[in-house]
Amino acid sequence: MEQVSAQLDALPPLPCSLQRLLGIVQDENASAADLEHLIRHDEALCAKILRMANSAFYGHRGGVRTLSRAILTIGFHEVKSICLVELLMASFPVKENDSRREREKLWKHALMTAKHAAEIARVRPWVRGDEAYDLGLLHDLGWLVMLVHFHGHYQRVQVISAEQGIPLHVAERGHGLTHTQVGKWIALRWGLPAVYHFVMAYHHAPEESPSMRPAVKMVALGHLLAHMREQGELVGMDHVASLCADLRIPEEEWRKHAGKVAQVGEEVDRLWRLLN
Amino acid sequence: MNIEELLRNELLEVRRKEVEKTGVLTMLYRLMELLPRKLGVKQTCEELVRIVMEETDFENCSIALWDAAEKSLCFVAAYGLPELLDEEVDFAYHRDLKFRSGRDVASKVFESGEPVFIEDTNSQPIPRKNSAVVNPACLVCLPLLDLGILNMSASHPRKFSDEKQRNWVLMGNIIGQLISTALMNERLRDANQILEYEVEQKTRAYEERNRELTQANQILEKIIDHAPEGICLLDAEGVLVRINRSMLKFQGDEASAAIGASPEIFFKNPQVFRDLMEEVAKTEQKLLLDVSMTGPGGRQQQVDVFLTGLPDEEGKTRGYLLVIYDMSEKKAFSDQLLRTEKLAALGTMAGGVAHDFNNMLMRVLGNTQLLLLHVEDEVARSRLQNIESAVQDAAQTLKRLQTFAGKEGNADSIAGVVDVNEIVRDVVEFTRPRWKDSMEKHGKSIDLTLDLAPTCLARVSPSDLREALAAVVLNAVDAMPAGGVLKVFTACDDQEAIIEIRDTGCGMASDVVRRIFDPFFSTKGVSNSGLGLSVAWNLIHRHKGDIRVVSEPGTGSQFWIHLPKVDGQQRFRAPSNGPQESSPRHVLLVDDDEEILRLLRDMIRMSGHKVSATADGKEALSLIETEDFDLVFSDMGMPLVSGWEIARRVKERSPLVPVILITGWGTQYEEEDLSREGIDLVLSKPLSFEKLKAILQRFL
Repeated sequence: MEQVSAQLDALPPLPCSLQRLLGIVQDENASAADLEHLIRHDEALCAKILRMANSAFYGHRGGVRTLSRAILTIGFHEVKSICLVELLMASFPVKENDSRREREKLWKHALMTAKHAAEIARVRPWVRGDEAYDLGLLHDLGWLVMLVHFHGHYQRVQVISAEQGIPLHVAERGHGLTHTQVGKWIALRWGLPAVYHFVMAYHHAPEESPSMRPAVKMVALGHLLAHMREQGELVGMDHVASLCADLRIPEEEWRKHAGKVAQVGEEVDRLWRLLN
Repeated sequence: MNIEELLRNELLEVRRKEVEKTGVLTMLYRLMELLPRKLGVKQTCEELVRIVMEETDFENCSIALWDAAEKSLCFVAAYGLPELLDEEVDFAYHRDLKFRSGRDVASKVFESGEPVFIEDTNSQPIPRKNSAVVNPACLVCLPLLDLGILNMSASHPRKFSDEKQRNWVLMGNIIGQLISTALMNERLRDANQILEYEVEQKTRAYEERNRELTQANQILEKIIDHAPEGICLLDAEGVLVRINRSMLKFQGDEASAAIGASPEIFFKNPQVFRDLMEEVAKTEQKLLLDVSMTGPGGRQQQVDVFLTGLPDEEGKTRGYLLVIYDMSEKKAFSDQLLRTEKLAALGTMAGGVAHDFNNMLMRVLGNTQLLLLHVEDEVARSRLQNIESAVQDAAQTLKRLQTFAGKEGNADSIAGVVDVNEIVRDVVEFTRPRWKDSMEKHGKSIDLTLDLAPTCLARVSPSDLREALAAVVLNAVDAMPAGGVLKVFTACDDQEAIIEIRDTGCGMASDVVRRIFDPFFSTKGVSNSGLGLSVAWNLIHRHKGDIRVVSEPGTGSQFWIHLPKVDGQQRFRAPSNGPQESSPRHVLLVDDDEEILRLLRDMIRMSGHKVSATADGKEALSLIETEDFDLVFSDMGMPLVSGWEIARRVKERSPLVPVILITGWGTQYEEEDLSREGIDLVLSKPLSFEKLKAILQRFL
């Protein structure tokens, strides 16, 4: 464990632009102007946002020329999360092809979780919808860090998962460092608000979270919905039922969420193609 | 004068001046010593006159200060030689002597601000007050700034050189400054004291108000927490800021995590709350009835919701008050009330119908049975027997309907002390064909176990309990067509005896459970009357007991029969009716229904007894007076004369003659002890020939 924490300590510090973006994410009063300012100073990001605003996805082929129009077109929260994904990807670059595939899987899962969590929060606003989205987006950040910085360990867990046909988070149990530990550590080191620690550390066992359980449970439910698309047969319905009961989500409401799994999956696929 | 003398004089003069200067300096020094002591005006003046007396050769010294209220100079301090020599002596100065303007030296000095030095009053007379004690020979009066004057005098004339005068004027100024400082000090101290006092008062008032506020706040908190309704306080944005204890009890402790979120999360349909908020923005407050909330564990809760804005003085909404009324208990209660009322109404109706029906059935049954006595033809006989048994069946159904209807019956009088365990065993035996034999015929089996408390007595009518229990047991058996386990427990506590009947059958949905005790409600199709459990409910309630049920589809049902308990050792004994040989006797028969009268008369006659029959109550009464009877049958409800009246008259004349009441009002009196009323037995219509014969045998 000591070795691990030494390795964790050796991780690169938070890049400046990411730090500023996280400031915007946490600030309820942050405006589009703040975001625009941030993007303007990052050429790659700027180009990407403009490209996305002009894509068929948003229906403005070539019509959007300024960044402020682009933010209006795509939406403040969406641009915020696109920036988050972009900057995080830049902060944790991968080289090999199979790592790229893994990364894609992780990000798609994160985006789906985020979308589902936001949708759940829209109907049952235990937390704000955009907060749920950001929490969902970052909940499995631990995996991304492991993929890049503990690649060997990640591959071992991946092999165990594939051989035994169990989810990654079950496979890593009893094999040292877990993605929830890494996630919590990252949240602490980056100075994210407490709710991010709890979500990153406890989204597989929300009952154990010492506080802010509704937020954790919401992301856990979003995570399970995302899993339903990826590996549907592995989702424990008992777990779902108890989470729904705690969040006061009636069965028919849950069914509505579950019915959107495929649609959300396609949206995320499209978004991913746009991002790359 | 020679030089020597001149020199000596000069030297003496220098020394005198030296001494004088030393005297002045000493006095100055002593005066300066007063400064740091920060004395009050009065004390300062007293010290001053004392110092003047001690350091000069004057015999009297006084200070008078201007008193704005008195508009005169008033003595503040005076000191005389006698006092200096012996402090005990109280020299009678006129310390309250006042100098008014103009006439005396002091006033002149004060008003002009010029000192007065009088070396000899003989050569320079001064105006004198009659009351003055001191008659000075020389006098110095110095102004003390604009505050007052300093008087010094002696009883011998003195010389005041220019230098001396200058020194005294200087001294007068210094003394004036000292008094002025003392005056300032005093004013400052007064002001300080007032300030201190005011601060203290204000502090105390503030603390008091603070404590009151805290207390009021605590009381408010307590009120909010102890209110039986769920109370939520929302801020102006509609976000939860406080949840009271009842709400936490209602929604589970986890609900406190909702603080900071909108209460819509608790509603089954969150839109309901959003609409309510919009409505309240327009109408200030609103009550929504029968709203579904989702409780802990996903449990559905029926609630009424009240929402009101909390405006500040300017009428701007600062927050909202959301009150949640838990209606589940109230709803259960009103359901129960509704059911009781429904059953009562049905009972009254059924009772009325049954009464008329009974009379008709009686006629059919009596005529059929009489026909049977005369008809020889086998085919006709079997037809008649069919009619008879159909009527018997109909009578049985009617009887149960009447049992159900006989709600108003006086429960106490029928109830005896019964051994509940005995009844349970009876019922188990009695229903054995259903739960054992017929099940086994189909290759199924019901495993019946009894778990009985050692002694379990209750105050209830044994036959009522038997019927009620049988209905519940048969219901349980019907719920297990594929076999299962049926358990019957009895238990006793201080207040009641409880019979629990538990099956592992198909169970019931909540809407079935709700209607299970309704008459004619049946899930078993047309073959069933739907009366069993409603009669059971009625029978048990008639004895102030209760019957409850809990059931879930697929998990079986549990019934509890609660009965009022008794502690006594007394046991209920059914009246013994040993068979007796009867010989021809004289029987009086009274019934206002001619047809029934004729039937009964024929039946009794056929049993070999002599019958006097009348449909007229008055006639019956006169017959009782004139003839002797061995047995009297009377209808209970007749016009003019009631069955009770007939019984009373019979017993008055001959107490040993048994009186039997026949009633169309069902079984409600059947087991009642009416011997006080002169009634030996109550029979309900329709009467079968067999039953009548048994009764005649018993009483004759």
